[in-house]
Amino acid sequence: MKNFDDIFRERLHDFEAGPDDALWHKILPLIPKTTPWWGGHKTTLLAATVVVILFGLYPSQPPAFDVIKKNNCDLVTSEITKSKSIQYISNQIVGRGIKLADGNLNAPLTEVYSRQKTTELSANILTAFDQKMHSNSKTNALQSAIQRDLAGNPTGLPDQMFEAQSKVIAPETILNDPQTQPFQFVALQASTFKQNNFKGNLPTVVYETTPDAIPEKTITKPRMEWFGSVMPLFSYLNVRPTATDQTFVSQVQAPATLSTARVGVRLQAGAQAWVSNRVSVRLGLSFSQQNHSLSYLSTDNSVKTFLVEAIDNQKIKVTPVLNRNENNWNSKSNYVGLTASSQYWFKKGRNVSHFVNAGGELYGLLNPQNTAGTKRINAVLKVSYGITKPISTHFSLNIEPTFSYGLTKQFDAAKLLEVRPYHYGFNVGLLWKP
Amino acid sequence: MLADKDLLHLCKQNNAGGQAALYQKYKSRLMGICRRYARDVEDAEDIFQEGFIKVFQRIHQLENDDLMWPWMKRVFVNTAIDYYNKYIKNGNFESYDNVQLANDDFESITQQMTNIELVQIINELPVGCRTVFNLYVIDGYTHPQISELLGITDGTSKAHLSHAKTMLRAKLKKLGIVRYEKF
Repeated sequence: MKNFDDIFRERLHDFEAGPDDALWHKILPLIPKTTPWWGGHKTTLLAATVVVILFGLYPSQPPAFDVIKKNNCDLVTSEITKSKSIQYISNQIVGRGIKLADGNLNAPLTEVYSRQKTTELSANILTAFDQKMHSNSKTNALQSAIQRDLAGNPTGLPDQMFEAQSKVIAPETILNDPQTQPFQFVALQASTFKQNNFKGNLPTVVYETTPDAIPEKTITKPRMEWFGSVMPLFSYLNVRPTATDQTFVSQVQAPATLSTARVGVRLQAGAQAWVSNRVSVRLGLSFSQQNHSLSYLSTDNSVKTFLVEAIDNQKIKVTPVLNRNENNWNSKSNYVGLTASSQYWFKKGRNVSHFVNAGGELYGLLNPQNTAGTKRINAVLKVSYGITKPISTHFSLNIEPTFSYGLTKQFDAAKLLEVRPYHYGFNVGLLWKP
Repeated sequence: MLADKDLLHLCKQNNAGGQAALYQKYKSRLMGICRRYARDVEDAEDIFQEGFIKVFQRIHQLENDDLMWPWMKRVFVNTAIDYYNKYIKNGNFESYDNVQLANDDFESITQQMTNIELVQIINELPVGCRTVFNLYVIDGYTHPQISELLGITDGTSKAHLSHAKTMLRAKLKKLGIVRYEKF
């Protein structure tokens, strides 16, 4: 026998009650009409803030972030090009209304519903599907193909876009007819619809393949991608004197925080492979030139000379002067490295994608003869935050502020200072997708 | 019917069609919540109206469309709790009949009742008992969570729940559909 709680929980957990139809008309005037200034894109704003804070720089103009994630075209793969028809869940927006005398349409959006459909794909669309390109670019190609269909169709509406209903009149006909008349249309796969677009223009239709539309087995992971990047590199050092009873270090000085004496360069190239829809790994080679310098005074307890002073006829004052040396350490190290890292793409957009990257690098010194005290083999941990934006069919721009921290200790030339390097860099690179 | 992802996108743009579609999709389930927490249909409609306005005001804060339903449900439950707090502040205090009843076979008893009849006997409970009963039994909140939401102690929350169950049993008996335990 069920207990008392279970009886009520099972019966009422999903309890539904239809509200009075008039309630919506009471709510409607009270709904806010304006969008908040941040537009609901908190993640994007947070990401932008991180970038700005990280570098203490304010961009001269707001970054172009992904505003609308319209499609699921990451799932558009070449494998569906073999089919001339496609089954999909159709999100249909059914509009009914009256065309007004001024050409506007009143409240056309009244119903939405879904159903399973099969549609023939036009030649233009099939051609676009056949092109080997990244999903974002493919989306653009598909949309261009759809636009060509729209332009080439005398009614302005390809069959797979709009479906006839009873008393259907093509929107163009409505607009060209000076008389006010009722209309009804159905936009297939239209997730957004703007009534104003009917004022003398073709309707805006976003053509999408939905996740439900494509069988799981046809989904293929993105292929290997290649990257190359260049990064100005600011080098800093955590310094700890290795003082002993015999030697003292004082007045350690380094260049100013943003001094050009700290600036080096790092070049990187390699491959990026996707292990899931959100995670990728990179493996690459790097060349870096790291510049930094230090100056300090070291004093040891060996006597360099004595200062002698006569106090009176019977006494003298003798003061030993210890050895004191001024040391300068200028390091201009060239390294070649092997880098490995993993990226988590937490926001993938059609125009802009965001990721965080973590990994490490093992690198060897190329010019030991010029950099006394610097270790030959070193390792660093790296973290970065990246933004990519497609700039052509095959290329994406990659902006990636990076912080790296040395895992291996080093010493200056005199071995009186133990140093651990860390770096800030602003990685700018290109990602090539075959 | 549009997917939550599309509804969220449209509502964030304050698209009237998207707002209407969201309303159409969830209105019955959300009114079901309101009916459970309210004393009568009029109060339920007040909570419903206020809840939807909050949803449209705050939907820009929602980023993950997977959380659309849990988030909306939470907004409505919180609105119902605001209603509870307002009711208590207006000087409506609880009083209970001290009824001791046996544990009957309520499964077979309630099988003869419709869901709306079950909701109606919950509606007749005092506001504190009704709110705690809904939160604990149907919506799965714990007593510490309830005490925080309602600003009462754990002990009060447990007492409300106990009274609610006692009164519900009594109401079922008054309906004349109770089959007494076999001795």
